[in-house]
Amino acid sequence: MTWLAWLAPWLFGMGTWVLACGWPRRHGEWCGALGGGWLLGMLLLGWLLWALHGVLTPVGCVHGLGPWLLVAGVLMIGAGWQWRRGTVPVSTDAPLRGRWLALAVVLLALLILRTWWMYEEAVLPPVFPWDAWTAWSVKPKTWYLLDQWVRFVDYPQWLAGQDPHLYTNEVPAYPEWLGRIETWFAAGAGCWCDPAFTVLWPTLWLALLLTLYGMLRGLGTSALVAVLAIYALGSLPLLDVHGAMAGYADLWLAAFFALGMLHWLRWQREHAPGACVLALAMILSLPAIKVEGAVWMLLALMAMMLGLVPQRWRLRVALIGVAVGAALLIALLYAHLRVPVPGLGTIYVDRFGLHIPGLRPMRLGWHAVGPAALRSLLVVSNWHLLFYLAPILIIARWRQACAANGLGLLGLCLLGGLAFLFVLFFLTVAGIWADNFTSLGRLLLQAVPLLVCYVALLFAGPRPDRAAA
Amino acid sequence: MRGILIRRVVAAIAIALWWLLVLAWAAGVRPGMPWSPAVQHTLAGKRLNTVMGVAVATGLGLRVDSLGDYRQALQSWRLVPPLEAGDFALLRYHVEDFPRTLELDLIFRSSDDPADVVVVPLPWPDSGEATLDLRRVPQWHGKVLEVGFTEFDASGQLPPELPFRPFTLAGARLESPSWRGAFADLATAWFDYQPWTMSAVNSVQVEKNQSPHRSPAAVLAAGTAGTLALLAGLLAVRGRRLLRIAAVLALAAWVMLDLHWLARLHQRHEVTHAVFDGKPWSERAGMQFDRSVISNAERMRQVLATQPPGHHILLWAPDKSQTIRYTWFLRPLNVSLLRYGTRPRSIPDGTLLMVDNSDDRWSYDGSRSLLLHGSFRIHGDLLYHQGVLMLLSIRQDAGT
Repeated sequence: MTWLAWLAPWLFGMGTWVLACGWPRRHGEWCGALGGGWLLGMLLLGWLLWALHGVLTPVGCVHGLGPWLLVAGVLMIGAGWQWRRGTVPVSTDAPLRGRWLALAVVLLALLILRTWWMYEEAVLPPVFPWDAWTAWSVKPKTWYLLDQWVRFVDYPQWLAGQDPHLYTNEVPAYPEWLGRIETWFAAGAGCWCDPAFTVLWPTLWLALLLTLYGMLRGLGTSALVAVLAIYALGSLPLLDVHGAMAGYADLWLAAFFALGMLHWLRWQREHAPGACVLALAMILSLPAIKVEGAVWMLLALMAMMLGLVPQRWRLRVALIGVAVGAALLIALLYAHLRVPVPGLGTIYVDRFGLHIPGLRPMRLGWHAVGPAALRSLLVVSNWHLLFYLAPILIIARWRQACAANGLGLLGLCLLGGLAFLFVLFFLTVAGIWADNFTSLGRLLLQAVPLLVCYVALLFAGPRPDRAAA
Repeated sequence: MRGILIRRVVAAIAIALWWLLVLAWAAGVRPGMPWSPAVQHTLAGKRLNTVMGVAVATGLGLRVDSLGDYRQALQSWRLVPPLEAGDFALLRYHVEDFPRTLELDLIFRSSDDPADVVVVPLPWPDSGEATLDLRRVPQWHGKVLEVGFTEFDASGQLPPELPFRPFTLAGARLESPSWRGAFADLATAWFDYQPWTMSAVNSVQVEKNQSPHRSPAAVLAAGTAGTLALLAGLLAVRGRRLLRIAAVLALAAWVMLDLHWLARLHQRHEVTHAVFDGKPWSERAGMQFDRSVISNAERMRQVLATQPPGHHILLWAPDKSQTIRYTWFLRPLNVSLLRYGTRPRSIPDGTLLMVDNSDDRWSYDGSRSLLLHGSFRIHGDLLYHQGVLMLLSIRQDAGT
């Protein structure tokens, strides 16, 4: 059943993709449909397994849902071919030739070279990274081996009751989307064996690069800029490590955050409803992937809402938004206001510090982690020259970066992310995670694919929105 | 025409000097440092004394043929007369065919505390020779009485007790500071093999204690920025031409960093491939870095299988991460680690408590049906006690 576990969500995702984005006709669009179809398939699969958990058992989920997904996928692909041809904008720039083609081939060869190594790293050894066996894979292992979607509760609740159907682990409040995906692939393999699900991570890495290439081409970047961006992203050591050392949720979050925002940008430019639906589906799913996804979701939604405001009002609305945010922060800190955050829960501050659901209370106070943060960005071998070059390139294209259009809002969203990281690491006890090089790198990773795409889009030519006849 | 040529030659020399300066800065070269070490002391491999493991002297040095007790080998040179630690800033060591499945440490004793053996992890001598800057070792002080090496199973992702492959300790050299030694130390830092660690998902390399100027990214950024400044200053390169050169240099620097990272990834992948490839999953599943936990967990599972199903099971092991590993291996049993601060009275009757008593800090008082660990005391019936494993069925009124 392994083939069904892989093929069914992929075709289902591709079908949804072509219905939403149109039938692919050029290689960039095919890259988007193949990679994006797989990613979208995974996203929808996680939600379907959640919605159908009363009907499907963990062991029988592929058998129960796979054929339906397969048929639906084929039908949607057929429908896309029939009715959605001719809706994709035609790229007008010339293909790569000569030395640029040679450069692109060399860079792509460097990416391909590591792909095989990453697959073997993910698949050959038993699952190794800490959070994989303390957090993310504990629930799916339990579900699959019990063949029951048992509930995980916090330790005091588990200890107090003797309900045999209640389980606990180190972080029971962590979202379950990824766990359901792992369960699906274990069910497909017919056993709980690590390679059945660890193989997903290098595939995610590959699918992300393919999709972003297609999305960038669709958004008007030249083939050369798109290849450079994809190479820059795919060569980042920390991104490669998250593809090779399977088990963490950060790369999934990074992928859907970037794709969601790029779909939204596409909707901003082309007003294609399908792109808007995909953008919302991906952005609203972020908290279901990882707790901090709620922050990225809020930032993305704010940018999206600003996008709905007429351009001449955006600056004023943005300033009002910042003022409201500052007032909320003051009320949170000094009036002990309890703020409900969609997808996250209620956050509040008391004498123990800042309370965020799913995390331990974080004591507030200034933490001088500037040197550690700079080391993490500029010195440690995680990002090559990304954080040297990105500010230079953004400043070099400051007109595009400051424009009050979708791209400008995308930059604002990233700036909001930077502000979030500043508050988290400089003003809370989380500063020690920056100092000891633990969470800062992974939180940056969640925004890095979008950052790379944003920089690439600053160099995009006029948008190719001449729709095919 | 000639003026332009002279300017170009001057610019080329200036750029070359700038890169040399940046590299020297990265290597930690100080003003006045000689090119070659002023003082050096050579230690021949064949004169090493074997303390643990089996080794024979050969023409190349000391060939280590097997590890000793606790899967460890140890060799040392007794220094007569003792050497003044302050005279030597670098250790350069040469090991042929050292396997990546082992770890190599430097050991030494000094007059500061002759009874204390200082152990310092050494970079893998991947290309045969490697260098350690002894100034980064605070205990390298006073008169050095004895120096040597120890080898044992590598930690990290690899399972212990992998097949052993002989290697040869060709020798070592203690050197005073020099340009040559500083660059050799930089080369070791940049190109030595570094195994996968769990923290790689947070940061690819453990560089917390590494000086920022030794970072390849910082070196290439400084080198590139200086090159552009020199081109603009000496050759009056401006505008689009300067931008084009900047783009080419930035891309070249990025590709160099990527090749460096690929080399590192390849080194790690070679080990993974050599250790795990060609084995079925059933065999690889047992190749965990903490094999002893697996075997204990298997015994725990067998013991717990004798109990009626449906119990909540609390687990305790001497180390928290070890306890979490137990819970991982024991799934889908309804297990949790016994968390710090849990009040014994809050644990309901019927809950099972499984203890790994490797550190011998738990004891059971049968007369009072009481399991004790420091101030933590809980009543219950001891269902199993063999070796380091204990299983208690909690019964709050037991012993009353």
